Amino acid sequence: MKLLLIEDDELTYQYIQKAFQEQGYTVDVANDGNEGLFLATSGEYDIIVLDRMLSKMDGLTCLSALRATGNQTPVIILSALAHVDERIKGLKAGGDDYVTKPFSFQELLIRVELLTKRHQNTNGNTTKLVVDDLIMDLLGHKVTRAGQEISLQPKEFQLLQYLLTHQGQVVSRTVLFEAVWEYYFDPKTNVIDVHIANLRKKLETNNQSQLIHTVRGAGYVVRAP
Amino acid sequence: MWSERLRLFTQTSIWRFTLAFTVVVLLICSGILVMVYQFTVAEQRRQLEQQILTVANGFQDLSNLESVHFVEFTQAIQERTEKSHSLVIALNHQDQIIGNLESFPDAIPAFPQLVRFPIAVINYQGETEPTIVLGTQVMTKFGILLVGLFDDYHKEEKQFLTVSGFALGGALLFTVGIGVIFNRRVLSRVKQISELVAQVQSGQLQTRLPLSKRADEYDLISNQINQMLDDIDGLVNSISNITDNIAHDLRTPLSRIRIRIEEVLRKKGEELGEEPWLVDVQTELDQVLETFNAMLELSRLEKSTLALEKSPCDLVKICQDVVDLVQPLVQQKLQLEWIVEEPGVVQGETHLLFRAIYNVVENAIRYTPEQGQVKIVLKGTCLVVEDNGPGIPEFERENVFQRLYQLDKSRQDQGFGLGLSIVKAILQLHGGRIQLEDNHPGLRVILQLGPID
Repeated sequence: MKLLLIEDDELTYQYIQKAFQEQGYTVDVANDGNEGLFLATSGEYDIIVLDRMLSKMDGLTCLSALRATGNQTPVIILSALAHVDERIKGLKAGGDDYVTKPFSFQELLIRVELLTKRHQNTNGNTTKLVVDDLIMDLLGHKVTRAGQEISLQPKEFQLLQYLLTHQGQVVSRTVLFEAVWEYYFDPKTNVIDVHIANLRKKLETNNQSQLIHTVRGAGYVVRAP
Repeated sequence: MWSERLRLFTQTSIWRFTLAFTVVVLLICSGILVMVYQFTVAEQRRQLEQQILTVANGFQDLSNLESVHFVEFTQAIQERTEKSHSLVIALNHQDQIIGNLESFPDAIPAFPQLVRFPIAVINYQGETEPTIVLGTQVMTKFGILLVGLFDDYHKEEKQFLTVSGFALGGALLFTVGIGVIFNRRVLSRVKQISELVAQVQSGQLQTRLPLSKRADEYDLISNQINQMLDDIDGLVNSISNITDNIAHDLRTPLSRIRIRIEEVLRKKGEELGEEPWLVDVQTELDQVLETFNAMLELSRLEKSTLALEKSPCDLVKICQDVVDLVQPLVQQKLQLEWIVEEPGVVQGETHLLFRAIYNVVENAIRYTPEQGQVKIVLKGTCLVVEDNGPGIPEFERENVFQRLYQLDKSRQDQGFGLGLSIVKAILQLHGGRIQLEDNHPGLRVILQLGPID
């Protein structure tokens, strides 16, 4: 997996580079917008992490220029600007996701992985999601575990659907919130945890095996036991 | 509404000035009219009276002459009545009436006093028409003699009074009308200024008063206010820029510290096992950074320079999403009631509106004790969130909108922090407002999510 990091703060890029390399990524670093655009247009990257504020060429200008060449490599924007309008500007310019500084590497990793996977299999129009003995029928809007039907609230259904679509991948609380509620902001409280706890109670009754696992400091993952 | 406007209208100095001016104009007009009356109608009246008295006097003198007998006297009466059609003469001679009156009226005062009385006159068409006669009576040796003249001036006097009435009424209408127009003009200028000041008070420091080309006294005031606002705006901006810069500059090193801690945790976590104190440091650092972010965002929201791309937002959907989000927090703890009285749509930014509503609802849930009740009612663009928690004492209600204000200084929990300040700023961006009230017991938060129609 090849990652291009366009970032001018030395400490930040050194750390991100190292951390991604530990995760098995090949990481190239560009220190300014011009160099970043030059490397990005080569088209050999699976994902680009782009800082919003860069010397020489602004991050958004760089992104717009990249998209203008027809390059569709997924781009995550890293920004110190947390405001809604900034985020919308970023996504409008062609960004696929937006991470606000200061970020945790875990969060960035989760989003990078979600994006690269998403980019690989976007056209899987599945109607059934399965993990272990849990079956989610998207057409019938039904969830069964070991043949037993489980009734879920609409939001619980959406949460489970998102987790199942990305099974095996760690999904953070903010990612879940953004995907299911479609609002951009961090509710800060443990509210998503409470939703997941409720969902678990419904899914994992009678000593059934655990399907939703908590990853400490990162988020949740759905995995067959 | 109307009575209030009327009260406002009649309280202005220009209105008082108008009233005073009207009184003066009416006094002057009346003075002129009185003078005109004296010189015309009253003068003619005096002449009429003099005429009557002269005639009456003449007859009395005639009757006093020794040589004049009854026959001559009645002849003289006859001659006079034939000469003048407007002359009324009647002699009551031993209950027989001589002259041009058919009956002798009662209660006519003696010479030189005069009285006005009505008689019926047969005109050329043979119709009788009432006519007013001014007359007096004198004693003659032949009996009481009544002398009178048709009082046409009585009609003139009436006409004069009617015309004067119209003239005065016209003057009154004119001055009051002018007063109303001036008052409205002045009021509209003053209203502009007071509306602007209200806007400034509500935090919109960028508002400026329009200036006209006339360069009148209002433009002078407007100009001064505008300059004052420029100064204040500049000061506020420089202060908020300083805070922004502090927050921004501190954030970069703090972010680096965070990166280092995370790096250590990632490595050491595998080699040495858990480092609980380091995790705590990271959590606290995250809180500090979060506060910085919120402060930066707040000052950004408060500067109305933020160019929001507004679109129609369905408030029912946003509120429903908030309710869905907080539902598990509520479940066993308390009762949550969510009512749509009237659906509403505002032009706005969905994410920000969601956030404002979530902050308020989450606060209500957080401060409501077990088995309490939280009620959310949407009525058009107005959302009311009620709880029966401890509430906020009245004297504190303005303060909770201040940054990082804590209600109870001794309390260890997070307090309102920046939450309500952000709500207020978001609502202001949408032309709405937030209001806190007592819910007896508890707090009632009224969110006006858009401009009031």
